[in-house]
Order: sequence, then C-alpha cells, then structure tokens
Amino acid sequence: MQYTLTDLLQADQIVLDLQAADAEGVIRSLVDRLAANGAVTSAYADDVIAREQTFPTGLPTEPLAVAIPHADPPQVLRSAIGLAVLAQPVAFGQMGTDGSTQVQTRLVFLLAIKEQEKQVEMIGQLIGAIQNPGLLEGLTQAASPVAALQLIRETLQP
Amino acid sequence: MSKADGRALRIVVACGTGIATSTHVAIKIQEMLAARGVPVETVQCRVPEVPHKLSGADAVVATAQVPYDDVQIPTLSGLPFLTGIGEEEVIDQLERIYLDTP
Repeated sequence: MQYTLTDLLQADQIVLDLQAADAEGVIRSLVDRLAANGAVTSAYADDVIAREQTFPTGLPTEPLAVAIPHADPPQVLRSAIGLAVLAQPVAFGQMGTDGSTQVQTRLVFLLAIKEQEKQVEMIGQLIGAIQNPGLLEGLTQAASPVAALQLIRETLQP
Repeated sequence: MSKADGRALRIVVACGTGIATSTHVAIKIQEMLAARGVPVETVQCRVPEVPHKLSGADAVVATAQVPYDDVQIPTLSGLPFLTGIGEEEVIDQLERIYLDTP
C-alpha cells in the first residue's frame, strides 16, 4: 500500500512560527517532534544534519523556498513527516550544489522514510504541494497546526 | 544509443539518497518525453553509483551534485522536476540529445 502525505504528517508534527537561528536548529526542532511520537530516535537529527552537508535539500520554489531534509533509514522507526513554518527565513544549501549556493527557506518538510518503495505516491504529493504557490502562502498564514493540515488535505484532494 | 537499432534514449537519474526523489524525476521524464514521442528508458541510482551506470547511457539527470570529471555524457539538473520551474527546458535538452543522435 502506498502512503499519502497526510498519512505521515500529523498536526503535532507541525510547528508554526518557528524561531530558529539556522538549518540545524530547524532540523533539531522537527526531529524532537517526531522522536516524541516514537517515529525516529533522537540520533536521527545528527544523520540529517550530516547528510545536509553533503547533499543539501533547499529548493528554490516560488513564491517561497522550501527544504526537504532527510537521511537514510537506520534511525527511523516508522515513516513520518514534520513541517516547520519559519518565523524568519533560514538558509539551506540548494539541492544539486555543494551547499555554497543557498536558498532562504520559509517552509521545511522533514522526511523520515522507512520503506522507500511505499513512498512514491507521498513524494509525488509532496512535490505537488511545494509546486503550489497558493498552498505555500496559505501555510505561512495558517492559524493552527490543525488548520495547516486541513489546508494541505483540501489542496491535495483530487 | 542508435535510433537505427530502435533503441530508446537511456537516461541515468541520480539522487543523493535513494529516497524516491529520483523515482519522481524518472516518472516525470518518462511522461514528458513520451508526450513528445521520444522513446525513453530510465535507470535510477544514487550519485556514487553513477560511474557504474554510464555504459550505454545518453544523459545523466541528477538532483544532487555529480562530482565526477570523467562523465562524458551530458549531465543535467533534475531540480526543475522538483520545483516545477524550468521542466520543459530540461525536456527540450533531452529531446535534442535524442534528435541529434544518428
């Protein structure tokens, strides 16, 4: 069975108006949420931060840039997604570069993937979501995590 | 590739982890080239495996840096398939590689 985006993204894994100094701070905040729900071990943060150095994940989407940090599965207990809407933009290295090119991101989707073969549909939905300017703008104005989740659900409905 | 042999354009799609961004990019490339009538085969791998996948390949499309100087075939960015910005231009380049092949 294929997972969908909203199968893996729960309201208590969405952080709105996150104040973070840098990409590492964003990643640690989101890993904390996923770890509290038993989806990853706290060591997952180190894996993601290390991978971000080699394979950065910032994407220059419009009108707001996003990042999709993730790492290999060893510290993932079950597949899950966290979302941070940042109070101020935070620099992530741009995917496809060595990180010297940066994008100022407002939205960060942290991916914890256990069974890659079940994620094709979810990744397709995620990419559809980040290519949707209205959804990206809407998420920055969401009043609550539940409202953010509802907006994603409505937007992705076929 | 030789069109005379009826062979398809063969593209290596690479990403940093095998976490399915390459799957998404491969699907988009197949759909968009098929819509233009270009036969295409894709092979997915992680960036470190790229040198081992080049035999018979016509192009590499990568969502991560490909830090190898000895890749002799065109290497294009797969980022447009993730951001939705500039997809058609990448497909134009792949179609041109196909059309320029004897």
